[in-house]
Amino acid sequence: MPTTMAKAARAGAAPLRHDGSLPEEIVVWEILVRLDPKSLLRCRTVRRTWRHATSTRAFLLAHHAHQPALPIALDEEYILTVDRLAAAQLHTVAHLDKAFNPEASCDGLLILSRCNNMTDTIDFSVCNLATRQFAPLQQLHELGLRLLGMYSHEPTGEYRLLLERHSYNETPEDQLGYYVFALGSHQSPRYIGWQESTSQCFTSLGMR
Amino acid sequence: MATREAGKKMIMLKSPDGMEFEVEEAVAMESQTIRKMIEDDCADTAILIPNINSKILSRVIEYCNKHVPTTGATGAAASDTVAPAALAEDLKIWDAEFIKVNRATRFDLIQAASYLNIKGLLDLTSQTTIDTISDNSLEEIRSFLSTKNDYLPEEEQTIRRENQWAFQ
Repeated sequence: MPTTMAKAARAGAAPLRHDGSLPEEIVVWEILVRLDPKSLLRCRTVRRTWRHATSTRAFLLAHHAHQPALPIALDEEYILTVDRLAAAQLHTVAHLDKAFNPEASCDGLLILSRCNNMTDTIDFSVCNLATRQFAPLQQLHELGLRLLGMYSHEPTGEYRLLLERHSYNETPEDQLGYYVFALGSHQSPRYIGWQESTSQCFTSLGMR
Repeated sequence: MATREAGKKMIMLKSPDGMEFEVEEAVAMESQTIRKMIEDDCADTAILIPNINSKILSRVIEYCNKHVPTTGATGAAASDTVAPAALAEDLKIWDAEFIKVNRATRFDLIQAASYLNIKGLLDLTSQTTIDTISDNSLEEIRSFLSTKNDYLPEEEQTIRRENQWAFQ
């Protein structure tokens, strides 16, 4: 008796289609996942079910894993990536309102900042370039925080921001220092300490 | 050469239309799905591939035979004298010939590569489809993939407007 792929069959060994179409699961997970951001954005308008399937977190991570890791550059209103392999070709990946500044990026997520003239603070938001999903980071408002960097925290799977709170208005002395904030968290940034003597080294880091 | 041949373990792959293909284990293991079955010890010497007919399965095996790392492949003797770059170039030309098939066959190969989890074959077979999607209008994409628009006209217009940048 030959071993059947029973286990695999339960995981979706549907008979191949021979009608000149592809199953939607294959389209999403093998084709759309490999598209460049601009084509993916257009494809989200092809079919409602495609739009739905490409909005999940699992898809976003899978899509990002297929994208080449490229340096980001900013040109007036466009965010560009520099493809050094393709003879320093520039690819436009997003169109940006002039008011926003890209601050940091990690795994295809981009942190943007904008000066809020009403409150004289900086508003941060997080943006997914592949789908243009966008969310304000309200916990960071009005704290006089400066973004130093963004990283993926492996043990928790969280994306975290390292922030610095510098002297601002009447900030109490004991609240000056470094903070960590997890994206998607409803809690305020967590204070992790302050090293006066080495602060100069850290503050000179540019994150663009 | 003879001793190396003798040391090779063979595996029988069966298609649902009753055809049997004897392949070296190393060739079959180009498929991560089959590799996992062999490593998990749930494979005998014969494996039924339940959803891939003999026509497509034979092409998949042809691909795996060509792409199996040269140390274990038949005709590997040549690799001692041929530079890796030349080998890569040869594979590229071979791939380009291999993929000269009609759309229906290409779609079958994409599905087979996905199910059997053969990354190289998937990259190769999906690229033409990806290029077609990147270069064509929404209507052409729908027709190419035989898929229907399920948006209401005004809904589609709104989404298009929101993502106008992508249509420029």
